[in-house]
Amino acid sequence: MTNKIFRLFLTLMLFLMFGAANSIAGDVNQARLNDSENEPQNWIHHHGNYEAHRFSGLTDINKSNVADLKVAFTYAMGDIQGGGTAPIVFPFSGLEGTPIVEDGYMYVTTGWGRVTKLDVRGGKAVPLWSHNPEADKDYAPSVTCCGINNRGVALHGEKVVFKVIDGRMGALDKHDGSMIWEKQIADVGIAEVFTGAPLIVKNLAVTGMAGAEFGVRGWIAAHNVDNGDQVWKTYTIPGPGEPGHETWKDDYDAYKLGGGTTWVTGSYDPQLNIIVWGTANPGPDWDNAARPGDNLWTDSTIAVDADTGKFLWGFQHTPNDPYDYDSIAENTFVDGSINGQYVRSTIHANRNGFVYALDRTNGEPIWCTQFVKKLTWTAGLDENCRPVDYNPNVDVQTYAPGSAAGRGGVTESGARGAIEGISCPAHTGGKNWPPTAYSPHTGLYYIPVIESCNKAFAGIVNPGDWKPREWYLGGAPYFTFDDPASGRITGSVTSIDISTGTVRGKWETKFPMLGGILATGGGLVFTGTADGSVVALDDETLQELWRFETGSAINAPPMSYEAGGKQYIAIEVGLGGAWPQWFTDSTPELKSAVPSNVLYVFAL
Amino acid sequence: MYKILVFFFFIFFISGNSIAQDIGTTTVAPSRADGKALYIHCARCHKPTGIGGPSYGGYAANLRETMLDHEELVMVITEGRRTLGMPEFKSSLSKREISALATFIEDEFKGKPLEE
Repeated sequence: MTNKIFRLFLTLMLFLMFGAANSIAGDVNQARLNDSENEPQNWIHHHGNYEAHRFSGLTDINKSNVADLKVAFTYAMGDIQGGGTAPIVFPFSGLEGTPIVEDGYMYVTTGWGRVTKLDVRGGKAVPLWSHNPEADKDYAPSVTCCGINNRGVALHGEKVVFKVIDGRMGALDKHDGSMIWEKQIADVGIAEVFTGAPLIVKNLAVTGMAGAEFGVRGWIAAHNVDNGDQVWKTYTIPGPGEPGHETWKDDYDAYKLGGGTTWVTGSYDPQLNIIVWGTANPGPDWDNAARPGDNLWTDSTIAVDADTGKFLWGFQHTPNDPYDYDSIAENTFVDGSINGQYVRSTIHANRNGFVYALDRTNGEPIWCTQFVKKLTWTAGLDENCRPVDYNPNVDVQTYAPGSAAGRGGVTESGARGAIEGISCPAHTGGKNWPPTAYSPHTGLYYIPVIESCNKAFAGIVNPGDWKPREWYLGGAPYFTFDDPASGRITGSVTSIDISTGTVRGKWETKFPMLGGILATGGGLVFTGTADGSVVALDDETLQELWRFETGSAINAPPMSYEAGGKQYIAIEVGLGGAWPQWFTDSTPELKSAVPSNVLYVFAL
Repeated sequence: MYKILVFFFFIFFISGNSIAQDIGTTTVAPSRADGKALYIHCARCHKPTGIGGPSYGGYAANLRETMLDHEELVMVITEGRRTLGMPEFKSSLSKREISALATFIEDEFKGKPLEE
């Protein structure tokens, strides 16, 4: 009897030990999300960690051996077909996503939102399951300015949280890909779409949205990660009676169509319990006279309370913006000494060509620095990091003479404004959505730069002009390749010393940087170029140490993981997004770039 | 005996396939279908409906209101309109393709207002 009880007890203890161990390893909980640096073999955050460092602590691949890096395996992701109907048709879909890896299992998405789980433990890609959300091929892409895009999934518990371009968010069981919940969250009927990856904060799935080119009002929403119920929704543009609403000085509710969307994934500080997020351009993009006033909180970095979504602070980078200088870029948290003072900062490289360090406890600027070669829209930023060419006495900004398009006295609806502008950087940035990386070892911030200028004109927008699911641009940008003032667009990887806010180095590229950046503990900076090369640079000097040519184009960020005791570098290779659709006149060689949808994984 | 029959059937089917390929390589005059497929190059700025208007690609003309004749359309597609931001297509499309595209625009859009 005693023997039986003892054996039962032993069996129970063993079961609890192994059962518990399995659930700890397989369950992405808040502790693991908070301290993701403790598991460098995994990549369980879209941006690498909550602070958006996109830094891998792995060191096996390093400066001494990266020259031997070669393709370990590839995986053809499919879903290359295009879609859309009037007003926008995309000939093909591309890849902008960052893979998630946990314990040797990789989760990738195609632009159409298909989620695939791959077993990569054995040094090759073995597909386990694939979830096809079956987005309608016409409805959403017709109103997504910049491609059939999906930048990735998030993990919570045993769930994979996904988004679809047509405004759905949901959760799948990560073991078999079966649906747990799915909700229609954004309203595609008024051109609200989803392109970014969700952010997991405690039991919330937090999402931004896109559509500022179609006259939407931007928001961030948090939904219960277990059942999808909305917990909070915060508009980025304050409504009547709310602080900041007075910066919309019209009397025809321009704020309702005012943009300020939120289409790149934000960052979370567990100690302050705040979420920091960037907001997009105001709408209509180029006719800023249609929306007189500073237009808060468009083109801003904002912080909200993680539990309630309550607005805490904001910093606006380009008031009453006439250039389409979104501030959606990721916010990278760096804690340490800046100019001799300890600070908890958020670093942000803006479309407008300046990189900013703000105190993330209150939004106060610490430093701001030009990171593009050419910048003409303002003579500089003042000691409060505000544009020196900002005129506090007018409601419609023109900034540096000749840089902004404007009405010039024209008022007739739909007519072309009399004043054209040439602005550097171009509206594409500066830096666009492709993400930066920060290395805690070098203290450097690496920016994928678009060295550029563009021309633009204003198209007069009058109250009542807006129609749902129609472009609401108020003009347009254009490039005239033969004109040196607004011709060829090139690129660079530019490194910034965070402790002083100064430019350290520039690795110049023939084409704009449309991929994204990874920094590693092996002393390397990885990126992919628009003409399809995956490269590794020295993280101090930016000297090129290794290159692999895929023959296609790269529009996605690299990441790193370890499986089976081996370190891998993974990157999705697939031309897509806004560049091939709208902007190749400034980079004519890219017109012949070949679309592809392939995951490349490299190892020694 | 049946082996020989199988052999002949085999040859027959192979021959049938290659005959089909020969028909496929005969030169065919540019058809309206070619132009329609090529219009994807124009749709991003001139819109699938041909009405143009604003987009990230600029402010394209309304093809339904064009007054250009076939030769002028070919010229504009070939050379672009550099000062207005329309790219050239001579680098990417053949003369036959540009002519087919111009024909498609005339047949599909020119002089035909958009039905609401």
